[in-house]
Amino acid sequence: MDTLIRTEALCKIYNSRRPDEFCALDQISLSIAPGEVTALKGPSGSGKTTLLSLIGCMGRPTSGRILVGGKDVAKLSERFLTRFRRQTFGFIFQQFNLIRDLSVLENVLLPLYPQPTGVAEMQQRGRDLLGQLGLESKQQLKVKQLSGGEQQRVAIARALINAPEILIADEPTAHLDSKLSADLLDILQGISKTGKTILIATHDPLVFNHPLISRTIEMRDGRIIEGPDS
Amino acid sequence: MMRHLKILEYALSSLLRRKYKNLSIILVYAFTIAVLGSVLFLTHALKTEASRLLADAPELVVQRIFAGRHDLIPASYADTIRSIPGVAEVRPRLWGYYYDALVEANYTFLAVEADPPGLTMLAGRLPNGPGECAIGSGVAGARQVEVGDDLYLIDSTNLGLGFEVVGVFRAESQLLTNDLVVLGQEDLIAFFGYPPDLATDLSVVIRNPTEVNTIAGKIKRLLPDSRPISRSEILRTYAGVFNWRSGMMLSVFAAALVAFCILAWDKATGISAEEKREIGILKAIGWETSDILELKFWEGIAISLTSLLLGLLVAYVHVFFLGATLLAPVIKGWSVLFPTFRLIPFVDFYQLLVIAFLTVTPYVASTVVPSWKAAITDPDSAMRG
Amino acid sequence: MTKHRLFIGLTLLQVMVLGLLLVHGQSQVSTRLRQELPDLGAVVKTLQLTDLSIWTEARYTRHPSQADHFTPFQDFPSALEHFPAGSIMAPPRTVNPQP
Repeated sequence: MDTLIRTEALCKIYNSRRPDEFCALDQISLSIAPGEVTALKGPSGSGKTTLLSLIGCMGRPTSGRILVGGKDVAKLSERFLTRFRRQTFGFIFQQFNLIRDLSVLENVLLPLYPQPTGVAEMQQRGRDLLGQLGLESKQQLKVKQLSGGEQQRVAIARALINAPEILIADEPTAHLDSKLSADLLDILQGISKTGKTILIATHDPLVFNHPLISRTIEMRDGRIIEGPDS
Repeated sequence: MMRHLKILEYALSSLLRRKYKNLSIILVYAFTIAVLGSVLFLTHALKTEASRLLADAPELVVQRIFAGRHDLIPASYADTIRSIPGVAEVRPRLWGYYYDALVEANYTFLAVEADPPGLTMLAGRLPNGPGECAIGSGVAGARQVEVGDDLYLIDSTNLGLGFEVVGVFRAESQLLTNDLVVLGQEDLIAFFGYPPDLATDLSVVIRNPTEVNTIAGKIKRLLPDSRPISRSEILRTYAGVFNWRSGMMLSVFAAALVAFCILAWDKATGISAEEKREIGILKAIGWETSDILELKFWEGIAISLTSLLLGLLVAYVHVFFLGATLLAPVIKGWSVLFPTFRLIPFVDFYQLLVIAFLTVTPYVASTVVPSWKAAITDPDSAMRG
Repeated sequence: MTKHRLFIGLTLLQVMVLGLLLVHGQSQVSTRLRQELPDLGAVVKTLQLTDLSIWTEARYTRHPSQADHFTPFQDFPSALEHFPAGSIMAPPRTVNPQP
C-alpha cells in the first residue's frame, strides 16, 4: 500500500529555551495511506492539533521529517510551502474561522482570490460546491446569519474549493449537537468516497466510533499510545 | 493581473464593511487636502500673476528716508539723478492714503499728469482737468457711485470737496486698481496740501536694464538719505507673499500636519484584534504574506488616492472657478475693500506632485506596516484558535 | 464582484476631470495672458504702480514693496502683528548695493 503521509521522529517544542517551554509532540512516527480516514483520538493537550498543523504545512517542526506524497515539506521555503499547502490540503477549523461579515459565497471563494483563476470560473466552482452541500439558496447571505450547522458546511465548502487531496478537520463536532454531528459525518463519508484522504482530530466518541473512520491513532501528552490500530 | 484585481476587489469589500468609518476618513482627509491645496493654488497663482503684472512697474523708485521713515522727496533730487549717465527720465510720483470714514475703508490716492492716455481697462477716461477723478471698482462699489456721479471727499484742511467721476476701472483690473482714486496732479497737491517742489517719491526710467543696480548705487552715494527700490526688489517682495514662515501659512500647514498625524496615528497604533484574526484566517486558507501586504496596500491606496483626487478637484474649482470665496474671509484680514480673485490658473505641477506624494505614501505606509507582523506570522496560530 | 471595476472607473474619471481642468487651465493661461496682460500692463505703466491692491488695512500691507523697514515693526521688533495681512506678507527684503 502506498504511503501518502509519513512522519519520522517528529518533535515540536514551543517557546524553547524560555521558562514556558512546552513539548507538544515527542518523537511522532506514523504513516497514512491514501484514501484512509484517520481519527486522531486523545484528550485536549495531547498534541492532536499540533500534529495536524504540522502535517498540514501550517508550521515547521522542531526536529524530525514530514513527507507528503514523498516530498519533505520541512525543506520547502515559505512560498513553496504555502503553495503546496494550498494545492494539497483543505482545512476545517475548530472555530470555523469564517469571516462573519462576508457572504457565504465570498467566504467559500476566499482561498481563490490571490490565484489567477478568472472570476466567472471561480464563482462557478463555488456555486457547484455549495450546491453539493445544500447551501445554494443561502449564497448571498452573510455568514453571521447562518446557523452553526450551516456555517460548518460553508467551512467544508471552503476547504474543498481548491480540490485538495487531503482534508484536515480539527474537532469538527465540537460545536454541534448529535443530529448535526451525524449529518456532518455523513458529508465527510461522502467526501471520503470520492477518494480523498481525511484526518480528523477529535475526542468525541460519536466520531471515532463512526464507520467512516478506517483507522484510529491514540495520543496522549504528545506521544502516540500503542494500540490495536496504529 | 487577474489576481491583483481580485485582491483589489477584496480590499474594497473590506473597506465597505466599515462603510461609514472609511467614508468619514475619506471626507476628512479630502477636506484637509482641499484646504491645503486651495492655499497652495492661490498663493502660487497670485505670486506668478504679480510677477507678470508688475513687470511694467517703474525700473527704479527713489524714496527719501528721514529719521527712519519715508518722507517727501525734494524735486531737486530729481535733477541730481537726471545727471547720472544712463538715466533716461525722472518723473515725480505723487500718491498717498485716504481714510474714508463713511465706509471705514482706506483708499490709495494717485496723481496723473496732464493729457493722460486712454486705457482699455478703464470705463470712461482718466481725469484731465480740475474736479475730475477716476476710481477703482472697489471704491465705486463702496460709495455707490458710477461714471457721471460726484464723489465727496474731505481734504487735508477738513473741507469737503466733490469730484466728478469720469472713469471707473473695470473689474478685471481689480487686483491692481481696486482701491484707487486717481486725481489730476494739481488737484492732488491741493487736496493733501503738498508743500511746493516736494513729491512722494521719484520714478526713474533707465535706458539699459542691466545698469539698474549700478545706478541705484550711484544714487545712494550722491543722495545719502535716499532709498532706491528696483523693480526686481518689487518683484521679490511678491515672491515672498505667503512665505511659509508667515503666520497664516504656518498655521494652515501645522493644522494639516496635525490632522494628518491623527489619521496616521489611528492606523499605526497597531491593528485591531479583529483585523489580526482576519489576517490569520487568510494565511490559514492559503494567502501568502505578499498577498496580504498587497491587500493592505490596496486598502491604503483606495482611501488616500480617492481623498487626494477629491481634495485636489475641490481645491482647483474653489480657487480658479469660485475665486477662493471660502478662503477670502481668512486672507482678507481687516481690509474693507478686497478684490475678487479672478486668478489666471498658473499651477505649479511640482507642487502637485509633492502633495500627491505626501498624501499617498505615508497613508499607505501606515496601513501596510502595522499589518506586517500579523502578515508574517505562521498560520499555525489560526489552527490553535 | 464588480467593486474593483467601479473603483477603477471612478478613479480614472477623477483623474480625467482633474487632467482636463489642468489642461484647460493651461490654455486659459496663454489666452488670458494674451488678452489681458497688455491692457493691465498699460495700467501699471501709465499710473506707475508698484504694488497689487489687495490688503488695504495698513500702509505696509497695501504697498509692501515701498514700505520702510520700521513701519511693520514700529512698536517693537518682535511685537505680534496687528494686521492679519501682515502675517501673510513676508517683510520686504532689500539688497543695498555697496557704495
